[in-house]
Amino acid sequence: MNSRRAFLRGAALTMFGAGSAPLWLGRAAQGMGASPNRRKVLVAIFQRGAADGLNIVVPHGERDYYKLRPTLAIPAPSRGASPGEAALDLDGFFGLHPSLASLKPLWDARELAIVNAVGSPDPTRSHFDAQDYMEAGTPGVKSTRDGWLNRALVDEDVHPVSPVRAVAMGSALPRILRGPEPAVAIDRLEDFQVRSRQAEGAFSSIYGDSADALLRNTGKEAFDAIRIVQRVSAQTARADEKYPNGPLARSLRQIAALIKADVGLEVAFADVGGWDHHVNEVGVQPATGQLANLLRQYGDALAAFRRDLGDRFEDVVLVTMSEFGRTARENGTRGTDHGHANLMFVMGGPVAGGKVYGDWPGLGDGQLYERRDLAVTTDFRDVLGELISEHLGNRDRTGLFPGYTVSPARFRRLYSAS
Amino acid sequence: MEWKQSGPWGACSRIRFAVWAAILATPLILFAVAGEELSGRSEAAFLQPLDEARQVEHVANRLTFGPNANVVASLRAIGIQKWIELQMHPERIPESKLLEEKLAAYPALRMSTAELAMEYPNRQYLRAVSRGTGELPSDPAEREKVETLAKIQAERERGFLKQAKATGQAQRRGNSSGTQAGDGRSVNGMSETNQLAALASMTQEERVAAIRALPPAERKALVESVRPALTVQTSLVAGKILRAAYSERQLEELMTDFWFNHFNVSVKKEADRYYSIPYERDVIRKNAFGKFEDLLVATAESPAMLYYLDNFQSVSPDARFRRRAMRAPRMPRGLNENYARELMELHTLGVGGGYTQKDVTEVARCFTGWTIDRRTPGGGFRFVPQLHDNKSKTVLGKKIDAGGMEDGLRVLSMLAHHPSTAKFISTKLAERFVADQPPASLVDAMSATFLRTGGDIREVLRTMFFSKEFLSEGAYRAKVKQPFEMIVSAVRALDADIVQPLALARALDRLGQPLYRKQEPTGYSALNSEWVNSAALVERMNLALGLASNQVRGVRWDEIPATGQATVELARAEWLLPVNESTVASIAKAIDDPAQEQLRQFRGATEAQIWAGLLLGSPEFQRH
Repeated sequence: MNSRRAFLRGAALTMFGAGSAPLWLGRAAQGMGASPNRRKVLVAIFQRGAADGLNIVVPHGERDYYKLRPTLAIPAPSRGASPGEAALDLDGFFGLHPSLASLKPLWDARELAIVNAVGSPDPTRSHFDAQDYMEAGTPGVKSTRDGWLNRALVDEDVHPVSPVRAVAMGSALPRILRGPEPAVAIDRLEDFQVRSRQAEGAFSSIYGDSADALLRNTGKEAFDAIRIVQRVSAQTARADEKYPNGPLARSLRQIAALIKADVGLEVAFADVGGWDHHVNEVGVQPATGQLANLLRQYGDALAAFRRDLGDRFEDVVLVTMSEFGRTARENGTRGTDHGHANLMFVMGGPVAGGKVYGDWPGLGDGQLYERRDLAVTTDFRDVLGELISEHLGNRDRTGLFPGYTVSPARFRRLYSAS
Repeated sequence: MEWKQSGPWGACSRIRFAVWAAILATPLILFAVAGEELSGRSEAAFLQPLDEARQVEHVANRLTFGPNANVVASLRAIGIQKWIELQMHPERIPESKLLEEKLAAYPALRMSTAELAMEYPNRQYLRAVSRGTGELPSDPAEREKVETLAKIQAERERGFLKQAKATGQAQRRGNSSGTQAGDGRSVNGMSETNQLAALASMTQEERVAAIRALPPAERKALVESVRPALTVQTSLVAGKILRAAYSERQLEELMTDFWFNHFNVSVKKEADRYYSIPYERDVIRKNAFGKFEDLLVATAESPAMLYYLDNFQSVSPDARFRRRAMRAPRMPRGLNENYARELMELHTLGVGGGYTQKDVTEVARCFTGWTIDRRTPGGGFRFVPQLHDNKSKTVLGKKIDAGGMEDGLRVLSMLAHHPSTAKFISTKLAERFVADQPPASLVDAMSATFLRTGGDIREVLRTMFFSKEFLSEGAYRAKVKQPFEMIVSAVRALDADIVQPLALARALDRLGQPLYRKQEPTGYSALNSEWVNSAALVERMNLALGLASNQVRGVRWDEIPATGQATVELARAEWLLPVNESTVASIAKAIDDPAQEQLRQFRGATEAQIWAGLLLGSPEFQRH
């Protein structure tokens, strides 16, 4: 937070505070219909632990897939296969893991796109480093101070800035959202408050009367943000969309509530762990076991989020990522080890869905990266760059990913706002 | 921190909203003041000396993790000068018995990396033992332990398979989240081996319920044996919290915190969990007041840093054929510049300290072959000549052609005595201990001392602490406490008993400063702007209320004053907190308001506890 920004935010609060609700309070404060200030929202989901992309979007048209994974491979879709055991065909070559059945309708409605063989050019197979690079948006460079999701925010000198403009679900602000733009980490909306309403009143007057300008102003912002979030939280409690269990569903439900309330949310982040399946990735059948269970929760959560948003899905793009993929070949313990390229889901109203994007490098001996992993044919920054540029309207070509120029020539054209 | 569920927090009323609108309409001038506050204090303020009373207050706040009765008494008894001298010689201060008792519960803190690896084996190693590829310890007792743990690990993983088989059942159970131990799925009273076997056969929910039903001591032992690697991390975290709260050697703890943060590593990076305990103890704390070069070399040779910044796998590009000769199964490709870059940017010269990308590459070549001994678990530093690039290099215009390990040592020596390093380290120290924008006069004096004494840290600190700028209006209460400082200072103010340090660690996660988990090599910023944001401020208020009303499980204070007025007096006398009259008036008004019945009865807290909570959450307490 620099002084100029603090000043502008202050000025915005002042302008919109006098006698009426701040503009970004929109629907939440005024109980109106569509807010003139409703924002485009980018939601980023991080699958920590390196999800096994090859078993999530199954290349059932690739013979080498079945050769490399005798125990793990998901059977190709066929008339004979009983439902739930084989891949759900997408385009004759790729198929969804059967646990992701709830995403199939999104695919059919062209709201879900898949980018395959996507990832970071950095060769690291350390979870820590690869996550760090993917969140900073600077593969190979550790000294980057901020995360790309923070840099994705348009510098707001003209609009009033909402205190809940950038939200990460969780207790600590993740790397991806750190940076100069104010961002908050919220674990549960209903907990974002002073634990006693009366103490909040006392604190509010202590801070309001303080001669300490820095803390007095931040105190104001805090009480302001509390008020907004509590209002939204009350609405969440009434939401009727059914979400499955699990941490991702909980996060998405709250993000959806913030979006629907028009409180000025622009970027949101949630992560979901448990993807590091070195051992027993599958159960007795390839389509059962740990990965299958995790994917069911995952797909059901994403599908519930989409239903929950209703027509607001038009303003939303959700993108998923995981630090790297897993070995093309299964290991000796019914699992897979750290690999290279992975895939990204991109879903939302303005997404040109129903298509698998990216060049498929193949799984043949000469085609694998370092003779073991799926090769990267799309840099993850080109996917994110397109979404940030086209959806959020941030056309900063050089500052977004330091050391890498965002070039529309490399966009996969998976965004079609029309 | 565990909170009992409070009632639903409804939407704000119209009246409250109107109040808010009014507050939001505060004139613009207010923000102009904020701008000045954010941009730092004037040079003149650093020439204005503090009066004696405030000098004590300032030193007690800035050079400890928070004043308490002890610190205040000893400062008053021997005077500021002697007190600071003493604190700069921690070996002369008898350590607190209470601290030693508390630390005794964490044996991991006293182990070497090799011992840690043996005592708390990680999953990869146990898996290797199960497969028969892991090297077993020669000592029969150790060997048996490792084999048992490997068996448990294998059973746990087979357990997952069973679970996978039971998918169908799991779906039928659907709404069985209420499954409780006690219906034949309890493991109470079993031997540990039997407990583990029984747990391995359970579903995840049953397992959690069964573990929850155990008595605390048994539960701790069980969790430690099931998750040995986690125990290493929790010991590290507990040790830091307890030392900061109870050590008599407060400045040593502050400097340990400072240098660990300066030479940051993160336990989030796999093996650094194990390396961090010896790193903090034998590399950082040991050299905290010594020569900067010794500290720098110790970090460069530490497995913690070699691993964190990847130098352990940085090898000369033309060492390929030699590697084959070494029969190493998975050898790295070539040069890795991460350590070289951060060494100059973050550890020594600083950004703009006069190095180029070419220097980064050359320095990386100097450090090829500096690696970790991986021949045994928990191995230490090892220089491997075959992996070293022995050709001549040029760093900062100087030729380095000694060859072997000497190349790296020469680079470290050159960097440790470089004027840019003197300035960078002095600036960073002054930002932490004086003000966000320390006056140039102070930084210059510190840099001069640094260069004159060959980087003697104690001398540089002496220049800083005994400068007029340190005891000036400019420095007085210029710093906002970092979350860790805020939490520990609150515990110290209350003279609270920390029974379970992890409760405070969890609170720190929410305040945005998870211990030992700062991912970036930059470490945490010491600047106010980093820590003043709305969400974190809300958490500070909640934590203050929680601690004061004994709602943070595992932390208790008992010497509660009789009245609110007495609490304010305590805060002024022992916490050395300059409580504003407006704050006292606001609290009194809130508490005396007849409509505030609920505040007075906040979770069974006494009125004095509520006063204490509001004081700890006040703007005054956030600064030091």
